[in-house]
Amino acid sequence: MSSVPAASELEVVPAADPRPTGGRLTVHRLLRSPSALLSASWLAFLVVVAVALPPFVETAANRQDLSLRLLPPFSLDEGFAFVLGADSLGRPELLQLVMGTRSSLLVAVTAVAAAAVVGMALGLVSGYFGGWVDEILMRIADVMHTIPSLLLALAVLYVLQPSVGNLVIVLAVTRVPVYLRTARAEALALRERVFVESSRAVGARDWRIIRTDLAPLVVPTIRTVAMLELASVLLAAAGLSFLGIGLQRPDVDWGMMVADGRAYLASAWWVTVLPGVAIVLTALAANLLSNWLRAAEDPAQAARFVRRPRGGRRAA
Amino acid sequence: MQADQPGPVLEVRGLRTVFDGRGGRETVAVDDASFDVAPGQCLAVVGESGSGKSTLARSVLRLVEPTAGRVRYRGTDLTALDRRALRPYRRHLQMIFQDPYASLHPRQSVLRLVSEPWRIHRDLMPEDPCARVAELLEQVGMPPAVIDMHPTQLSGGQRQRVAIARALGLEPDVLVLDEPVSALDVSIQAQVIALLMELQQSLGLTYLFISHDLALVRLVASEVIVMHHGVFVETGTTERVFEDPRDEYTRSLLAASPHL
Repeated sequence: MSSVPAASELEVVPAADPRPTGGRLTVHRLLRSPSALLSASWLAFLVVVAVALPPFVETAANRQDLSLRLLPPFSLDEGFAFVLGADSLGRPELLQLVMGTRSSLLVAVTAVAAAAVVGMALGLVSGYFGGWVDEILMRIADVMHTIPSLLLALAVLYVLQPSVGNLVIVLAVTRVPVYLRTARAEALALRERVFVESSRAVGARDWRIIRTDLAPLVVPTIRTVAMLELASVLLAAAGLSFLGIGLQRPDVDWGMMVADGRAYLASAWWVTVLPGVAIVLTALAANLLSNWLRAAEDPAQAARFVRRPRGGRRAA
Repeated sequence: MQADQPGPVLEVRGLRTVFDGRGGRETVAVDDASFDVAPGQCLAVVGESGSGKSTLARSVLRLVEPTAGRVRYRGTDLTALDRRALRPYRRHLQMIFQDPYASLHPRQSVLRLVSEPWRIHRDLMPEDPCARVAELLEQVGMPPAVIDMHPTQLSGGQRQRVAIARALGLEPDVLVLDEPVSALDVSIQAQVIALLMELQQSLGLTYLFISHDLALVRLVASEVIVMHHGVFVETGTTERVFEDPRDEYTRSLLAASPHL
């Protein structure tokens, strides 16, 4: 093959590229984006709190002491557990929040993850194959779209036992169409791309094309949607808890805490505001992080996140 | 590779591909195409845009299902096979696409792109895929350092070389080249064509070369088919067609190409 002109002699070939790739690159970029770093830190903090603390504080969190009811926050007189005050039954707000973190995250993350996986799989199949499969799936999605998800959840949870498992299932099922539509729309566009034809030319079967060609390009969008959904599922779970068909005491989540404090909003704002702030911050962090992740993972947009040294950019 | 077998590698008979349009209107992209491709030959199909050249190429490989007709590869009727039975044959007939910016998956590294076909044809999986990919890259004139790069980091010419390496990894018999250089810079075109001709020589490949570039076709092809509105208007050796065009359309096509 000596007579073949080597590309390296004739075209500009970047020398061994020192730019990091994959996970290392993502971490590297994360450190350069303050908002994303802050969001990731907040979410990581919540996960640590939700996993590590509840076993130690569970008893103390549910101990009622009516002499301390609606204790104002920011005082260490009653010990650190009461630094954020107490609720209407004298339970320490801080420890209730810790317990709430676990339930809220568990319900929201599980429901979102389940809905995203199922919705994406169905959407890819629907968009890639088209035809009657697509027709049936989309009609089901349409029907589900016309039923208010809260109403459906209400009906289902009224008939079934209100439990964490049922809550997750109901929340997941009602959110599946969101991912189904997104994944389907992307699959519809992607299946016409030449690299799909190229895969077909080397003998790849349909499932392989869906898995290796389409899915990796749809995942970033689905993840963005999922992170956005995290906030609304968090609120939906809170709403169901408020209506009394979500979690049941002694389990507690942020939504239940907001609902419980409503009656005392004028006299004891902290009972409502603190869990509300937790919900808002978490939703905000999820949104910021999702937006950053989507852009950072896209090679075409990567340049926006990596400041290269002068002259370090080469012609592609 | 079974290059020593007698007879044509590809026999195409009465191939017809019709697309359904809106309101029941049909578009006949390829009509009654019949030709043979001998082993080691480079058969060119020329014609203007929309003449059905690319559809012909895709129909031969059944990337587009032909409406009627037969495609025989070394005696096996590819059009009679169901999709499952066709799959093992796919490795013998590979395709190089026009636009290397579109034909390579944007998220896969060069290593993944070139080794992916072996995951489908598992009997071809080398002991050391990395080493084999590097070898293939060398064969197409690429330094082994590009193995971890993504297509976005490569130039058009480099991408097309990767696409060629990907096809060669399956040790194909026939390469269908669908305008393989028309999306590239003029300066790069010559290099890629030189590479393709060199590979044809050293590996004994058979080419079905789709192009609208008559100067290029005259350089590389031994036989030429001229297509117009889905129909073959003229067939013959390259020399004969270029020196003594018999069809009116061929004459106008040649006349429209001033640098011949």
